[in-house]
Amino acid sequence: MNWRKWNRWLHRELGYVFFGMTIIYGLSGIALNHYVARHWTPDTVIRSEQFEVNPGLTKKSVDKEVIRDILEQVGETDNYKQYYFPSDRELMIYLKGGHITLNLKTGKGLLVKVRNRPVFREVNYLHYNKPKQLWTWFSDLYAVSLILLAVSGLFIVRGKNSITRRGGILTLIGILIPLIFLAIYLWF
Amino acid sequence: MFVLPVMMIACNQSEKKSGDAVSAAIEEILASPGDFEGKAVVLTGMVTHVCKHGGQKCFVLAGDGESQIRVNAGPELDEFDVALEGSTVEFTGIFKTLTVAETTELQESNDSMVHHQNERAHKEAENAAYFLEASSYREITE
Repeated sequence: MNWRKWNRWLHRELGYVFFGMTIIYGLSGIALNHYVARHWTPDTVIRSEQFEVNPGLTKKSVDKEVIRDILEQVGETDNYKQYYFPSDRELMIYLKGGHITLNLKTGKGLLVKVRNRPVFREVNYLHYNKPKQLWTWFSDLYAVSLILLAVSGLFIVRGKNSITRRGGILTLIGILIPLIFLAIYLWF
Repeated sequence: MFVLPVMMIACNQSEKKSGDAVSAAIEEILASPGDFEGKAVVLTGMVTHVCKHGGQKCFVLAGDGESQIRVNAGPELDEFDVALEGSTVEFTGIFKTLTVAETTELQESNDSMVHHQNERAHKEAENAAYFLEASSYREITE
């Protein structure tokens, strides 16, 4: 068996074994990009809903009856945790899975509900190596395998699309693009 | 259910030993942070905010219902769960104080973050030189 056959074998086997890992890291990579750019929070889904109560409340006038009325109005009586006043004009009510903020003077409130975002929560948990322990080694193995997949992939095809011809140009473009970004944003 | 537990937490907290750590009310610590420098401390209060970006710090309300203290996750902890917000939590850790240069750096870093530029009730605690570096915590109530 010549080296090309071994190369194809390695590329194929690693490709199959680490298909799942590549999807996990690809999805969470997108999530991480937009998390860092502060476009969204990938692990959670946040839903906000405005509501109004009678205006003119004060810190002194807020008691358990007022809190109960607010919770009943927004349908969150069963989710109550605690409350406090972040300032003289604001009330914060904490809920299981969210919170309520209320402007005491205007009576305008915002109910914020937070729940876990399926799929992204799980892939991010793995990508950020939250499990630690054995997962550290398995994800290291995947990272090394990804390098082997990339390198072995360069030598799969022969002919006009091989690494020495058109494939080489495409590979070079793929290397140059991140270098250009580094040059623009980091180095100069 | 509708009790405001932040009031009761501090009221029954005088300095007492909990294992090797000194248990103290947040107001006591804030009144004389120098007395607690480098000590193992246990403090309890309602978590008002968990930093959403990484969960590496949270803010805990004192019994006066206004003052807050910053609690950072120590090396033993991965992060604080956002679900802690609104819960009364007992934190154990080492009380630390930053140098003047470190405090300035912290404040500049906080000011540079867009989401930190709004009025925030925990702003003073966020910029404070002192904080608890927590090694463990446990939720007392939800």
